[in-house]
Amino acid sequence: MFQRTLLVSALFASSLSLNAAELVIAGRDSSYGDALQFVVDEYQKQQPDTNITLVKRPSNGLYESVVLSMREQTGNYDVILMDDTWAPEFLSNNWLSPLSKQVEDEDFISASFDIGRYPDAGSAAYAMPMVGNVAMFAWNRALFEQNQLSEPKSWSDVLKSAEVISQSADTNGLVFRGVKGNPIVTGFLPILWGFGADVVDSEGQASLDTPEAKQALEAFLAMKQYAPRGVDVYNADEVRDSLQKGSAAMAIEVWPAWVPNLDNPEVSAVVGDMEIMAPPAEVGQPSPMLGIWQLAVPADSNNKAEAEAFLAFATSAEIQKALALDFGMPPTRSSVYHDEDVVTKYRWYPQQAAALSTGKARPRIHNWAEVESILGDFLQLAMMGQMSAEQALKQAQRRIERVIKV
Amino acid sequence: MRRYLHGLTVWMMVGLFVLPVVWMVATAFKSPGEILNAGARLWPEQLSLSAFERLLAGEFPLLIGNTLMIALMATGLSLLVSFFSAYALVRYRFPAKLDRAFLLAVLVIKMMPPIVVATPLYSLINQLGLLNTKLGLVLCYQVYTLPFCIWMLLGFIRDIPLEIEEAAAMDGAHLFKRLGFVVFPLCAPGLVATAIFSIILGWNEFLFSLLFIHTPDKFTIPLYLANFMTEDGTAWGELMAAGLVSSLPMLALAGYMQRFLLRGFSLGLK
Repeated sequence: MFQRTLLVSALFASSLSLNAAELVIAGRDSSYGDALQFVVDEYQKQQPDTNITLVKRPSNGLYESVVLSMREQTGNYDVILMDDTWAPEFLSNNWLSPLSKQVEDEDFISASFDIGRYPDAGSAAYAMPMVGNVAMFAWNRALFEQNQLSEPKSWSDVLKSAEVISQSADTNGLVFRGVKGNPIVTGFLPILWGFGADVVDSEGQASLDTPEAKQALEAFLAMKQYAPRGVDVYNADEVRDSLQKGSAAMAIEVWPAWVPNLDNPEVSAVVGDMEIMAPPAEVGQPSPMLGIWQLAVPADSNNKAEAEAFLAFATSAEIQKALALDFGMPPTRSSVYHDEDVVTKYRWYPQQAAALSTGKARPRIHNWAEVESILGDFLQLAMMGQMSAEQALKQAQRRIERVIKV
Repeated sequence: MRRYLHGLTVWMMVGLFVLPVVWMVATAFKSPGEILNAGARLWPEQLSLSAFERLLAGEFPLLIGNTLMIALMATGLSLLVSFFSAYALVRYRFPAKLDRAFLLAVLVIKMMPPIVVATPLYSLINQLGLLNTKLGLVLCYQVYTLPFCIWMLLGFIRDIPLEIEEAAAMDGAHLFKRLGFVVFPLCAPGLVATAIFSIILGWNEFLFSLLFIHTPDKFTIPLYLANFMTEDGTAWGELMAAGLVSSLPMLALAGYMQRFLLRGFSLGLK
């Protein structure tokens, strides 16, 4: 801890030697925006000479805005908040500035930090992990015990448990996000990986037309019968409400920002009942999906040293602890996951840290956004019963092959 | 029976359009707790101004000013350019049907998804040093407003009898005098109608302001509204209050300008 404090202090000291700087940060809206605002306020307390402008954007708007700015080398932004799936595009275009060795710290959970290195895990870091998002699985222990069911270890167990609970209680067996695009893909990926399949193989080629992928999609489609009516248009709000009201026994995908209120008696009817763990696997080990939000310095920034000091501050253990406790932001540092205050507030954090350590990133391909959009369309068509699992995967495979070739 | 059914259909159609507005107004006056637990109840049990208080305590009034200024400037510029363009297209003969080709090109630009033109526009505005400025945004909005204004005014100017202009010309009025004292007053109702629609286009524009503006003090209303609908949930109270307040200037403007519009029609100038 002392070393880390020294490191952050050293970075501050180096930035102090500069003239008063002005940082423009491209960030997100919602709780991410509130969290970043807190970091900015804390930073300015320590660096009163630094003027910081925080621009809060919706997620899609943030992507378009930073891409245009970096492509045109406007120097508009000094720090950007980015989803880890954007990194391949940003890095292959040399839009990000490499960070100094000083920012590296063994306290970071390696899966979350290494995702910011380029071109491989042994190379220089270009981004620091601020939000340690990892897709988890939620299940209601009380309901399981009422039905003499045990913790689901595989996706087959999930289906069997959902069937039993749906028959015996006035509760839906499970719930998930069925909205097309990113939500349905994000819900499906841990199942796909859990069956040993993937969207693209190690060579970067589309690999959806396989028996494993078909099994995974059939399992996913079978889940719909145990989900609430209208699940095809469910998004984060509906999943969270279903869990909090106790109207769904399981959620195949929950993100850390959705679950802090599960134990809050003011809004939750399932206080102490819910368990959060890594998603089950059908074959091999569970593959929780990483959704790390990183901070990076654009190559066209005019304040790189100050920006790097801000990155170090924003990802320091002290700030991560405050963000976890006050904003429910999942940390990326091991020490914070095991901090006594933090674990007292979020009893599932040890499991979440383990999931983060073994987490799997979405395919590191240049045009993942397009691939995700195609897969999302066909998943929803299959979910609506307009095509079979096999047809959906074959057609998605063909379309994705064309996109990857470009 | 037929009359009764007709009346019922009309009222159902009116209800269809009015219900979302009523829901917006009612939700804006609900407390946060009531919004979550209201169920199907439309009207608030107890009127609450908390959403408005939170809204007006922030930068919302400033953003109303920004949006109004940009929408008015964009409309002013569009009307000026489109008035002359439409007049030229109606009154002059162009070789090789260039006028038709121009109108078609304008229509194609209007029909393109805005994101297609966003990238080249960004590059252009950046090179002009107008990124993150109101003037830059006013110029970008011409992509939406100018084609619309040209096509609208085309019809109005076409309806002005050529004989009136010829009579003015015989009395010695040169082109700009005819434009200012004959054509302009005769198509004033058309200009007003076009202005209303153009201002609404500028008022509601989202994409260009999202991409070309990057400091919060220059944001426009649609950008601000987008922040209420997030991955974590939707702040319905603030969103509806902001929707209600931000629609008032447009309603007032349309109401005020409509008087001129009606006066123009009633004078039989057109």
